[in-house]
Amino acid sequence: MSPVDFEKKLSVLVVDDVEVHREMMRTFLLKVNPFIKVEQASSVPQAVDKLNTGKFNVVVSDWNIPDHGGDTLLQWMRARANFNRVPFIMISSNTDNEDIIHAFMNLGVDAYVTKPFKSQDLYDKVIAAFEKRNGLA
Amino acid sequence: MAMDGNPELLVRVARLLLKQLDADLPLIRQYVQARETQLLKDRSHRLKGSLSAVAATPAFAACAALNDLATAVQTQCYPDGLDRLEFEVARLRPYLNQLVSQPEA
Repeated sequence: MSPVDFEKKLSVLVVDDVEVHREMMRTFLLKVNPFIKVEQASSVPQAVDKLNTGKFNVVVSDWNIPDHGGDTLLQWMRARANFNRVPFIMISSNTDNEDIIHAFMNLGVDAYVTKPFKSQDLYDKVIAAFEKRNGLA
Repeated sequence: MAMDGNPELLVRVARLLLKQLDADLPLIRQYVQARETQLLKDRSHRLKGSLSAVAATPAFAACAALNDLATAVQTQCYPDGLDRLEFEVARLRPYLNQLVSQPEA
């Protein structure tokens, strides 16, 4: 199967406590690839529920979610055999390099996107992370 | 995040933002009055994120300032921070209402 076929079948979980941001990310991804399936979670517990009951190729998550941050979700995923290879894209409005380096070095983030971003930026990161994790890059 | 040249998305986001303002502002008033710092910090952070999405710069700045006050636990300044936010949101609302009144594509 070619990477293009994989792209069409991609299923992405978008996690953000702000509905406006979730809607924008969903629209951005669908703009570039209308075949992509996007589900949303507004909190880390809801994301965990979705992961446990659905099948996702990539997780795109805000890093600064109140109560449980994106790092909590990522650590939960990386500690489980069925999710530890699912690409995780970190969305941050914080350009603090220390946060980003820590996320890469210690937590297993696959890519990050800093707000504001454009649809193609987000989609390219999703595809690149997916292909790298699946040996397609 | 910018709207990526998508006017329909701008209308949808304006609609969501109005809904969020209706839900969040009464809570923010309540948290300011009760000096509920953590709740104020979380709620203003969330609203700040949405305001940034529509490039509502003055309202975003007011919300960010209130969020900064909560982060610094400057409780005596919360009412002034809220006044500024209320003022800027009142200026923003007519633009949002105008956007959502346009017929959907």
